[in-house]
Amino acid sequence: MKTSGSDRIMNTVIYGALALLSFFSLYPFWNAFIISLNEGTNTSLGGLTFWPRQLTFDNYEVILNDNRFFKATFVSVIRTVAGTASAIFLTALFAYGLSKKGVIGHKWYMLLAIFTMYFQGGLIPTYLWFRELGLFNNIWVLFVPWMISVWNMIVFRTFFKGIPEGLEESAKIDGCSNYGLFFRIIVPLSGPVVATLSLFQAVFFWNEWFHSGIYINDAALLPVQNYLVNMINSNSAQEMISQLGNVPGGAGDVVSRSITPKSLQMTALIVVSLPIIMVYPFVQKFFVKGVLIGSMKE
Amino acid sequence: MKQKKRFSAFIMMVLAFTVVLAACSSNNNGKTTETPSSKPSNTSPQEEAGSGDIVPFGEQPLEFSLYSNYDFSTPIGYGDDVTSKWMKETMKLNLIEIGSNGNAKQKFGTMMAANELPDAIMMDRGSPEYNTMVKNKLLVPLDEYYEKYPTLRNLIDDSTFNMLKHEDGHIYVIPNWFDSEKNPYKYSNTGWTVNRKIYKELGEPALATFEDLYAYLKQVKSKYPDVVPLETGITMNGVNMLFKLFYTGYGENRTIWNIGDIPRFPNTATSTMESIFNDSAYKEAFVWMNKLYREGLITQDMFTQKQEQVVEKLNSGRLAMTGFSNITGQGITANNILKASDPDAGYDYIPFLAAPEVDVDSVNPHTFGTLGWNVNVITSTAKEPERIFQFFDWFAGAEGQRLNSFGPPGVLYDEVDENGAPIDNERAKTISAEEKANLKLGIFNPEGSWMFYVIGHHKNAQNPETANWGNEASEFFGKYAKVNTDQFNNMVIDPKSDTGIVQEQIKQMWFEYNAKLIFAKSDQEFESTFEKLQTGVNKLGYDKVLEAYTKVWQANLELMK
Amino acid sequence: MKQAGAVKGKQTESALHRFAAQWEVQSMIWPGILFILVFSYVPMWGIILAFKEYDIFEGVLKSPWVGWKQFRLFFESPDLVMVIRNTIVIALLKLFIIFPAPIVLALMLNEVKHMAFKRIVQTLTYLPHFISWIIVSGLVFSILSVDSGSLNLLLQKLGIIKHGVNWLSFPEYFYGILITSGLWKEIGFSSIIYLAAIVGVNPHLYEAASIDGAGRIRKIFSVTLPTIAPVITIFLILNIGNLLSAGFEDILAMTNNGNNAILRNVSQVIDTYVYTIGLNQQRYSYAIAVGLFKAVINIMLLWGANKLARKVGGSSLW
Repeated sequence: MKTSGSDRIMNTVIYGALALLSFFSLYPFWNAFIISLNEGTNTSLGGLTFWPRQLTFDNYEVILNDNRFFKATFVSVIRTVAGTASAIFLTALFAYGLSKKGVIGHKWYMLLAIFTMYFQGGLIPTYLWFRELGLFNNIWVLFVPWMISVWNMIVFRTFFKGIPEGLEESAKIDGCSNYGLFFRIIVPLSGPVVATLSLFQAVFFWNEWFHSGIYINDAALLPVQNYLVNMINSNSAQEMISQLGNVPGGAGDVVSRSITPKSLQMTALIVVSLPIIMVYPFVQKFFVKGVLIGSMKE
Repeated sequence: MKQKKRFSAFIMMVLAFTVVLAACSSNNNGKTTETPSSKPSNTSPQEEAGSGDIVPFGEQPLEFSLYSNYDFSTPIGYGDDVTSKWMKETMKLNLIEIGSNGNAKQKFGTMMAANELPDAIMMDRGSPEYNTMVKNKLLVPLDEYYEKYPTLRNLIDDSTFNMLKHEDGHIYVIPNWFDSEKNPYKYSNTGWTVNRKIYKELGEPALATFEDLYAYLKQVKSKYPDVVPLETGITMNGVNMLFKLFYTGYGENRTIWNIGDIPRFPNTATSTMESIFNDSAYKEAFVWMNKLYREGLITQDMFTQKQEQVVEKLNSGRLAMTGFSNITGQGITANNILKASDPDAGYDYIPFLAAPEVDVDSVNPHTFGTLGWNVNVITSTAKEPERIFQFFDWFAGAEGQRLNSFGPPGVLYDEVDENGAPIDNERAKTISAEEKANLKLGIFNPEGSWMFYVIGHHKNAQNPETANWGNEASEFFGKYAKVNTDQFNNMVIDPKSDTGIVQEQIKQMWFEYNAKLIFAKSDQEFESTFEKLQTGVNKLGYDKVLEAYTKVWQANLELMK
Repeated sequence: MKQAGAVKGKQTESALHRFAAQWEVQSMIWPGILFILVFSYVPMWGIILAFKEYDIFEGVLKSPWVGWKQFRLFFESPDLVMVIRNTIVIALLKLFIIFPAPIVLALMLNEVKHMAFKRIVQTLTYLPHFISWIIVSGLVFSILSVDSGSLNLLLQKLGIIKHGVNWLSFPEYFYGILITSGLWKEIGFSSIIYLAAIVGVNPHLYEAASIDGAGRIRKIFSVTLPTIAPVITIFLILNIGNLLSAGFEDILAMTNNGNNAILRNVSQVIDTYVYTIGLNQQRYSYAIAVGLFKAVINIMLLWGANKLARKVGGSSLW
């Protein structure tokens, strides 16, 4: 490998820029991490930058000591795993069908799908309909409505269209049906995009809390994001109430709390995002160059 | 059950569609079918009282659902903290909390649309939700219960009771955090405080007028460059509390009861609402704020900071004075932290400041509404409305109000004094802060009555050494509350009506000009901005809004007679 | 007559026949269509609420019809021009800055030969996506604070400014702050999909380009970019078709939930406007009507962008 002068300059620029961007991306997370490890009232004095001043695990204890946290995490894991697997399967299949040439009604199917990206019925009609379907307070509501993501479908379709037709043709001659093609040729060749969209879908299922809160009343069925949102809110609720209503804050007046809303918020950020963040390195394994080419040579 | 079946049929159909064998037969990966887990129905079995006689609260199990119609309201986990656990075990009350999911309006909308009301709701008095619920007969009239159970009725003043009635003559609400003429201990959470240490070091100059304030802040600024001379706290609904502290400093009826609502000037002589923008005191208040801002004497982040930034400055003593809401609550922690490193440090509450030549006793920064913050209502879905009322009635009394902040008996107190204030037991004297925090006292407070203030006062009086600073400050500020705002109750305009739409447009404009006036860089800029605000609101139709308010006010006065 | 009928019959027969012949492919598509119909189309009757004055107690059916009133209210609003202008300005800034940035990042990462470094950078830049806008705004506010913000302290120490600048009170800085934080938050996450596309570039093409004497920069332009062009085109079309959705959460958070009213004139976009003046005031029908208006414009933009892409010879949505 030859390295010319301009090459070296380019490398320096690229590595430098990436390192800088990485630092700025990591720092807020690091800051949240040390705040989660620092005593709450001490944090409220400000000035925490790189290291905790008064190390404590209290913040984590508050969250992890609660049985409900683990139940909610379990719900989230089920939702994310089952939801992602089935949504990606159905969406990829849908996209593959639409990526083929000469499919009857293909244009109408696309328009039908794209239309839903822009026009929705709104919360209340949707709520009434989901109730009618029996989805209210039902764990299925956590993922079944999201089986088809039109955006994902479009991305899948774009990638599938980029796969050389020659590959399919040769497989067809070998007597594979379209399903055979899909499972044996298309999916294996689309490792990176399947991995990427699975990641996006998983992140979505993991983070989503608004709809779960609307459709689920039963605390035992709520995902972990809802649990944490509720916990943080109820911790700061007393303060809100006393400000809005000119009410002497019952708790605020009596208890000098060492667990502050801010420490709790930061701890929740760490606890809840760490599992989903750790998925990414596994996804990166699929980003291997030349998958396509290797199979072409076969 | 039918719905569930329909849903599983749908799922099966979809699966049948999707599970197709791949033609390369080796690839036989069908999806395994799952059946929906069985769901408990949302209705809870109610035990019918056998005879029809109603026993006192706590003797028989009671279960009902309670929804609080506020974004910030979330389930506390009923039964997890020491107070609600006691309620559950000793008083046999099982409360089913329904969360607002951070979006109360939408949650309420979905519950209404699906016709699945909770048994009881905590909501704003006189809100459109409340009015329409009454109109649609979705609320239980409580007149009978009020007669049958006396605790609440005895606590509520007659005039208050009348005001709480709906126009149809019935009463549907249980006031929450309400007050009374009979209560000698008024609480208020807003007022001026000074940083004791800095104040002492600067020779404790007189602080009575706005001029004094200005001179003092100047002195702070020059001697303590790293300290914020006057902290304004966070902005709520686009406005800082400071505006209220200045405006009301001009005395008389100048009083602002609901921060964030379009302000107006109530002319008590004619009982009409008039433009506040024509009131010279309003302009004066902004002249002061503009001056302080321009000279760097108040926090420069007043519109952008968050609570945590305010708390940071407060807890580390990096400010010389405060003029914001809930200092009585915030100040407790701050005082504790500052005292821990220096026994002479902390915050002191001071009397209200006034404009020159205004008598401080005529300053009305606070109003006292006897109507309270909001209300609890019982809906027509409730199976045992009378027993739910019984619970609120019981909770409004001394026993319930002790629970509100001191927890159940047998934890930190075993006995109460002759005034009903709990007497600390051994554990209360030795408990660590962490252990105390874990009890989560005060988190369960479904109902507040003025008994709370009375008990708090006597608790403080037991031992001045351990008196709660927040309660003392609240009582001190509360002494200035002189105008009864009950007459201004119910000032809600339907947001969908023409006047309501105009009101919202004015509000947006008013928020913007509040900031513009404070940020004005010169006197000319200030003057022209103020003129623009005056003409702007009039152009949008401020008079129509005032007219609507006047109507409500006069109707209220009629009711209070 | 007879003949015509025969032809017609034959046509239907052949269409059916063709459809039957495609049953396999159609059976891949239909589950997706079914889900869309059930979960998106059935509740879509809610759109009629744009022409009613929805009252939650009356229910959808009994709420009174008001015709075009909601639309009229929007178009007659004194803030209309301001809101539309802000929407377009912010959307264009995002289109020209936030849209291409992840492509640049992906191309840069592709130039990195140290696998470990590459993976670390990828993982770290992915982190900010998980920090909610509320927390992001808290960070931004404290960095830019006048009382104790690190940016002001730094600039004062360097002697660039004498007194702290109230960055958040000057409308002229707002777009910079909004775009920078949006860029920082999403650049890593959005670049993943481009990385997935770059993986598919045929290595032989690079070899061939090298033989032709192409440098690294030229290879990016003649090999990498053309290969991922279809993906970029599709995203560009989708972005243009979303122009009127200039932002919501980010703008609300960065204006302190609208409390920083001095920024109102530059920050209020259609979605935040509908939220403050519609949804927050329980004017549901108003909010739905404006949403409908927005969707119609957006879909027209999408259609235009798609047509243009097809003309230029790139990929298209349908």
